[in-house]
Amino acid sequence: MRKYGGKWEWTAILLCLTAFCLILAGMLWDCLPVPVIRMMIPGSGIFILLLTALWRERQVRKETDFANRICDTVDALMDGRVPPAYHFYEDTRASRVQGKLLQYYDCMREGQKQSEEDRQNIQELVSDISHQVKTPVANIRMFTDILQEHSLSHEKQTEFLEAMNAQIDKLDFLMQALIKMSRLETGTFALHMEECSLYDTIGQAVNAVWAKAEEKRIRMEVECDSRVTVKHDRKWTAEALGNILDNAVKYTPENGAVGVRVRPWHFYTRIDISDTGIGIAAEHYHDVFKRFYRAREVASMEGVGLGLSLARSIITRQKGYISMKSEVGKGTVFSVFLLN
Amino acid sequence: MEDMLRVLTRRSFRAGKARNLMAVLAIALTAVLFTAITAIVMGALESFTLTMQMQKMSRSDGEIRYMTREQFEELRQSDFAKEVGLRIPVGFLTNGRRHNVEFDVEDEIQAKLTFCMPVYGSVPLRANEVVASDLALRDLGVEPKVGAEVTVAFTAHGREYVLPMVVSGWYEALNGQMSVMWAGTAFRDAYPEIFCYTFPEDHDMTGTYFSDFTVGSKGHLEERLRELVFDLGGDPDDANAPDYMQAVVNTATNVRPSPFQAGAVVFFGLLFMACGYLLIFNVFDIAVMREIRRFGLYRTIGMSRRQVRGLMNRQALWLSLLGIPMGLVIGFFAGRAALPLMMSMVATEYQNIAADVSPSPLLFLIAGTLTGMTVFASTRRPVRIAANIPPMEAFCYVERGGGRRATRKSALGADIRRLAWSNLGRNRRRTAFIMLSLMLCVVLLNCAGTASDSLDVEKETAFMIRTDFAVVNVVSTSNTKGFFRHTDALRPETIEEIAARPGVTGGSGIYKNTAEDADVTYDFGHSLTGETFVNDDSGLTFGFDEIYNSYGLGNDGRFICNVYGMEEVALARMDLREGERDAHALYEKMSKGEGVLVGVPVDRRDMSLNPIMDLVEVGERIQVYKDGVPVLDLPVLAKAALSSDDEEIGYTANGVNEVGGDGLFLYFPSRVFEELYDDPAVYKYSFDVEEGYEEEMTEFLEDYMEETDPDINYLSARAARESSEGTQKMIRFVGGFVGLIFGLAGVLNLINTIVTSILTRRHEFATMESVGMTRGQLTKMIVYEGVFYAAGACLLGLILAAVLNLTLVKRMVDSMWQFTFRFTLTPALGACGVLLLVAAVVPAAALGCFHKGSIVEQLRMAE
Amino acid sequence: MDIVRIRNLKKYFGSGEHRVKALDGLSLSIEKGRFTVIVGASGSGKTTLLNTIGGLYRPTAGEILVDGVNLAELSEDQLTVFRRRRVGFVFQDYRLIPELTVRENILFPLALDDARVDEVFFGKLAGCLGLGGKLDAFPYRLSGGEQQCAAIARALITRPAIVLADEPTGSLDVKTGQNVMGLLKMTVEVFHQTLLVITHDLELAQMAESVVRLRDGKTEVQKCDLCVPGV
Repeated sequence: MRKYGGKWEWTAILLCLTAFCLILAGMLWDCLPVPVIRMMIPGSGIFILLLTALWRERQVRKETDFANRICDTVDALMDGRVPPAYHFYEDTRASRVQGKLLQYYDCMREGQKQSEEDRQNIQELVSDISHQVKTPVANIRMFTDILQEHSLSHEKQTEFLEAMNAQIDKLDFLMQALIKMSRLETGTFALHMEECSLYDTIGQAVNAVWAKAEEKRIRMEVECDSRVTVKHDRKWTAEALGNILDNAVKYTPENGAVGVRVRPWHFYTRIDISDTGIGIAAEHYHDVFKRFYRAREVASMEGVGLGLSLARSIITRQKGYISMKSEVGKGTVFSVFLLN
Repeated sequence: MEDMLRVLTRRSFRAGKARNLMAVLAIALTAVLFTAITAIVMGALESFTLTMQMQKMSRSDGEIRYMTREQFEELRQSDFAKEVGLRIPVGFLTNGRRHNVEFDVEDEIQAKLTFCMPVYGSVPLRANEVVASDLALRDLGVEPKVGAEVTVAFTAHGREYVLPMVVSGWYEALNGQMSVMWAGTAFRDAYPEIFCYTFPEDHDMTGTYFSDFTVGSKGHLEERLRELVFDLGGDPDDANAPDYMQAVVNTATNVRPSPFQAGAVVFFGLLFMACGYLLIFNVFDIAVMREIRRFGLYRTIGMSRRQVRGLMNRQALWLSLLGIPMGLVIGFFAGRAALPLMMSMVATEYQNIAADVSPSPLLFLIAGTLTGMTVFASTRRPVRIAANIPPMEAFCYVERGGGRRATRKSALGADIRRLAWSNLGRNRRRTAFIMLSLMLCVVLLNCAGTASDSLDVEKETAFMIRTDFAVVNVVSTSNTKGFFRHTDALRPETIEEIAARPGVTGGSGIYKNTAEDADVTYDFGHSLTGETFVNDDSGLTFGFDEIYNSYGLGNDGRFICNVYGMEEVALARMDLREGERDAHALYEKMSKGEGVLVGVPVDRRDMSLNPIMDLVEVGERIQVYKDGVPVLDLPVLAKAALSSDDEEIGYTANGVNEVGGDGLFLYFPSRVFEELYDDPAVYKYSFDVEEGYEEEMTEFLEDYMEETDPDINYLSARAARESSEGTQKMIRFVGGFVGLIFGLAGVLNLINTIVTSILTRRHEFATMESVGMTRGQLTKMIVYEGVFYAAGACLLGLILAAVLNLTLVKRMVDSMWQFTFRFTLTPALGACGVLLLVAAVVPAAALGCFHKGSIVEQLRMAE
Repeated sequence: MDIVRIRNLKKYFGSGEHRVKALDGLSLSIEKGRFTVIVGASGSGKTTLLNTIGGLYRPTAGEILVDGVNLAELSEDQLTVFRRRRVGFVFQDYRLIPELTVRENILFPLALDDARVDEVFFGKLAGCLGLGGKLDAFPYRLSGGEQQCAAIARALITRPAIVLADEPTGSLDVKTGQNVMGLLKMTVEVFHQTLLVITHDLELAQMAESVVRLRDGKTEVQKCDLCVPGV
């Protein structure tokens, strides 16, 4: 329709130009002495017409070319073929659109891949959980079997029941952690980000490990301006910091020290959690954040290796990040960066 | 979004002020050169044309004569001409004395085309009103004043008329000989009997219509004019036909430049183009080198080569838009100022020369286009470099040192100098360009200096005039007329009055035979071919010999010769070459009628007697006839080498050509001449003045010409010397101008290079300073660099100047007689001195300007 | 899917006896959407590798595929367009254009393509990098960190296939460096970009998901440790 209208416009311009030339020629026919100049008026009119016609023709051809190239690319992508890439790196408009199309195609495929990966993640998680749950459940079953099959003295019974209780506690802890983990992983929980005092959040986290620290006679130093506020989710952040602190206290020998230092930066607020613990070798920097990772040296200690992984998940979800620096035998510094 | 590039251009343009200033200056200078030369060329053409037109007393494109009124109206109606003037000749006034006054009926267009529009007063409207020149009115005994009454007398169709007229306006005459007095068409209507058309019967032009006209297009003018005459019903060829209609193209208006002039223009154009190229190329090259990292960045982010080129071209365009108009304006005024100087050489030969140039669009168009072309040509390479630099290489770009690094050990003291020397080689091309333009400056200045020094002012002056003053009739100094009638003689009163002035010594009136003295003839045994022609002006018959020398012939068919009579003082001044060399003895002998002195024109190149003109030997006899009867038989006693002064005066030779032609030049004592000729005419009065009287005499002669006798003219040794010095000045001016331009280009290049080098090497300098180089040593190093450029250029320039002097300049100079080759290197040495000084001062000043602050600051700034 | 696949890449500078082997038979692949760090001593060919991936150098030998294109097959002009549309560069010395405002600097690569600005995307990007209030300032008014943020925004504005950063924190102090690196990482994650960074700072390197260690123009270790999967 548009094209049809265009044709009409085109014809109108043609007619106008011709008419103008004719009128001009008519008016000036007698005024111009030299016949050559007289002939030049209609001549130039015809020249302009030809020029416009040629230009128009070119324009239409260019438009067609453009449409064809785009369509070819779309067809190819629909068939799952990727057209040769150097086509996209011409300095032309068509190549720009082609490039964008390809980018869109990639984006879609990326999305597909992502959801597949998510599914796989959940599967992995489930297998992890089943693996971790196996031991306590087996223990409990064993204790139940003993209690059922053997008639034991009352003391013995109480002993087994206590042991069973410990296993149930562990199972409960594991379940709690895993539930948190899974909710974080699958993104099925909402963060309540609000601008609030970091001091309170840190206080909450420290409170959770205070008793344990007292027990090991570990000094706790918190250096934080009470006026510092950051946009964060208090509950989850306290959880994350608590985990890191828990870790710190756990791997710091008696009479050691654990410090918390808050420094507000330009883009980020940095929270350093330092300890004087056993330290981590540089090649394991990345490992400590892995689920269920436990260093060989600490195999004897209790724990399941979920704390730091969970902490990192929580912080990353809040657009922050954690980095660390450590020296074996001297201590470790975890730095949590929260986006202002 | 395209305008982002425009924004970038605009902002970086503003940011790089110093650099852009340099570029604008370079472009402006080029534009100045082109505008100046175009203005001078166009102005000279215009002035020559106008001068020629004034001599011809018409600035029309052509003239048609002898039309009827109807034919004239037809011409006026046709679309052939743009402006058509009306002129009906009446006749020459008969009541004038010396000045020839032509009386015409004209219209305003004609008056405008023939330079006789009234400057004072208005055009004639009533039948009794006329416009005339001041000289014409004075000649008729009336003061030039609007409203003055003047009587005009003339003859038309055989009847004499004496009419009282009123001056409605007047103008200043273009020359002293002739001018037009004109009345309006009301006069024609009042006296129909004067204007009756009788041309077919008696060829009387009174009553016919003449017309000076201009045309729109000048192509094939001659053919078209002939066609027009046929169309009007006239015959352009047969002068005796009743319908004869003369049609001529005005050659003064429609001149064609000679190939030599065109060649000179092209040469200077190319020279300036080269100069502009050197300058602009360097500026842009440096700008690109300085900005190379930026271009690297653009390319890294993804600017295509085409876009970089576009960016650069746009920048060049902006700079041109700033620089070219500036240069055009400056160049126009420079050209206009220089024009009179350029014309002064010819001004001595043409009087009333009008040296001016109008600011025509064509001038600016030509100059602008030429500059634009130069800018375009000279930016191609820098633009290509900017566009094609590989992105990463741009960031590690350092100007590389010279390929060969000498590893020789040198004394400790020379270290700074060596450092500076090795810095020169960083960019060979740029070093070469700077040296080239500086060198050209030196060479051109020296060539111009040598040429102007070699112009032998004394020689030329001596050739033009031997005495301090020479007074002649005004016609004798005209290039179109000349002394060949008794009426052209100097009046005895004038001579007496001059001789009576204090301080006049050695005065002598000099007689010369005229065309009217055809009764006295000579025979010296020279044979002619028998072919003859009649000279229209003098009415004499001329004969030819085998080599087509022409000889004026007397009544009896013998040679009329050019014969002079003079006092002993005058003879004593002549250059006697052969025979009797003692002037006094010679004069004595000649006075006794024992012989004659023959003058031979010289070959000006070596001042020897010209063998072609050397027709008789000493001892040969010459027979003198009067009215065909032999009266004397004289031996040739001596031969003298003639200067222009001995023949006539200054460089004129018209009178000689009109009378004796190439015949012998014979010199007699005054007394003998008076005896021989019936009515001896004094050609000139030449005399010396005592020391200190020159001023007074000049003043007196000027006054005398103004007040008493407008018909005399004079030449003084001083004026001759000034004319000669004018030529010298002109050579100096042109050579100096061109040399200066190249010098300026070179110095600008030098400044640009030094400043850039300081800016780009800030880090290097700071490093040097941080390891212990003092500021003084740094300055010394930079100054050495500058001086090395200049010294190199000077050395090469001096050698080339000396070589060119001894070859090209010598040969050119030797081919012209006014010159005596003198070898000189003074201008080159002077130029070298200035260049060395500039080259030493500029770096030091630049270092002071651009390298300030502590070392730490410097190091940081360099980042 | 690998965004960069390099097989037996060689890049020599100079010729004859002055020949320097910057990269000598290097093989490497970088996964899409990953944050990869290249570490190595100076002179180990880090920058050369980065510039070769970015299409600034042409390899002497070997195969280099970026976003499915063999760079060796592209002409000089195609390479330029490739850089413009598919690669974002972040340099140690920012390399902003001093005559343009921050906004213009960021939009410059789009302007080169005559492309219209996606205002929403631009706003999000600028907001993410904390440039909101500085868009109309000229670079010299900004601190080093802010300038680098502007450079990062410029690198991302075309939604490139890969962002290449050569010591992006090299001329910043430790604190700002941490900040900028965090922002870079975050922004790249938010916009699902692939990031390749050269750094010698091990503390910063641990933010990466994988690390490539170079020695003498060869890959010594290519360690891909997925710590936390993307959100």
